[in-house]
Amino acid sequence: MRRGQVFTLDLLLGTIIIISVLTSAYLITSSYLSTNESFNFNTNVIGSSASAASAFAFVNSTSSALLSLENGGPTFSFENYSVSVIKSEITLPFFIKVLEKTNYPSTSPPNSLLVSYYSASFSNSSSATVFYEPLIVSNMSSLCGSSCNYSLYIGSVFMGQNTTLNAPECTVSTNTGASTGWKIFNNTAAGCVVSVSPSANPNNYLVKAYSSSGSSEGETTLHVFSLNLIEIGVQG
Amino acid sequence: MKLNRRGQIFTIDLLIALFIFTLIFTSVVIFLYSVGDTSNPLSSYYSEVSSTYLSNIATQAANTLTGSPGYPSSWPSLSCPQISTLGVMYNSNEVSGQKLYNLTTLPVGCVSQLLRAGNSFNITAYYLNGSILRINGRLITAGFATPHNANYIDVVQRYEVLYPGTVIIRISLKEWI
Repeated sequence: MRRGQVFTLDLLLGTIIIISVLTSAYLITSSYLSTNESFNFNTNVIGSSASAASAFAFVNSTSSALLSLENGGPTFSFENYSVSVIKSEITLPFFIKVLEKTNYPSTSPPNSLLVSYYSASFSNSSSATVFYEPLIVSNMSSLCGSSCNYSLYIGSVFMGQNTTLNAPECTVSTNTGASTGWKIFNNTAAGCVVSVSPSANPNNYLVKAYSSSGSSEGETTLHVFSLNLIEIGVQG
Repeated sequence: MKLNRRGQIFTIDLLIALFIFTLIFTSVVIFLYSVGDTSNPLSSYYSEVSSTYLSNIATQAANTLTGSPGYPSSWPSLSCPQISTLGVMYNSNEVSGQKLYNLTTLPVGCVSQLLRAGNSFNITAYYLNGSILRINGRLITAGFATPHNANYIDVVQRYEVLYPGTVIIRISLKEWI
């Protein structure tokens, strides 16, 4: 009874090997594509979240909310404001922290926690992608009266960046005349430029604006309150 | 040794074995072909390759648009052949409302060419409450209307502050096939 010889272990092994090779090729390629797709998804989330954090830190309303906080306003007001904005931008679990610099004139980053908020579904800080946005809390009312053709304003000032005051020409001086390290360059080609040193103390600046013809447009005091750091973490 | 043993291999067992092998092998090949064919909309490879392709195009276009004021930065006053790069930023942190407006007045083909966005894209700016940004009475949307029957859509979003710093807007760039 040797008729069964052809249906042997060899045939089974051959079939298994062929199927294994084909299946492995499929699984490896599929795994690569899935990983690539996951990478693209994360890139998309990070890009979107980074722009959301940047926009949140830069918009004037955040400066106003931080100013209120620095002036002794309730923490929950800032929390409510932050959550209302960030929830519109980021659908993933997130946290937000605001730190204030207290150890002037050190160059270390802000170290004192002012506000900390974690969304309800946030569970693991170690898996979060964190975005840092340093900014200076300042306040300056508009210089312009009804005769002005422009409005002089200053929004968020970022450490290490120059911010241009929206005036053709201006002069800036400290009320004490002392050097603070927070420099304002007058009458550059771009206008009035604020250049911020991370080691300098907050100060007040007297800002006088002039039109391009040299006539006075007004003056006001730029109050620089603090250097803050906003941390926004997104759990992907 | 008898000669009558040589014929044993060509038996019904061999036919059955070959039939089983061919059946399994063909099934596997057909299965792999169906899931691996990148031009077959029903295959999983098609889905993954398509979404990756769309994501890359959309991300690149969004980064171009929100990464610079464009070149030359005065592109709103120029014709399409004179524009090298399309960007809508006023400065490094704020979007120019004027440039967003002009984005909607450029020919679709010009926007597509400058952003390498292909022929199935849409750019729309929204307020955070979801309504479409309107500048000078014009809704800020450019490109093509998003079809309802697209197989795959990739959406890349960028949040920016509208100059002069008063409001956050969401710029949404969609690509589809």
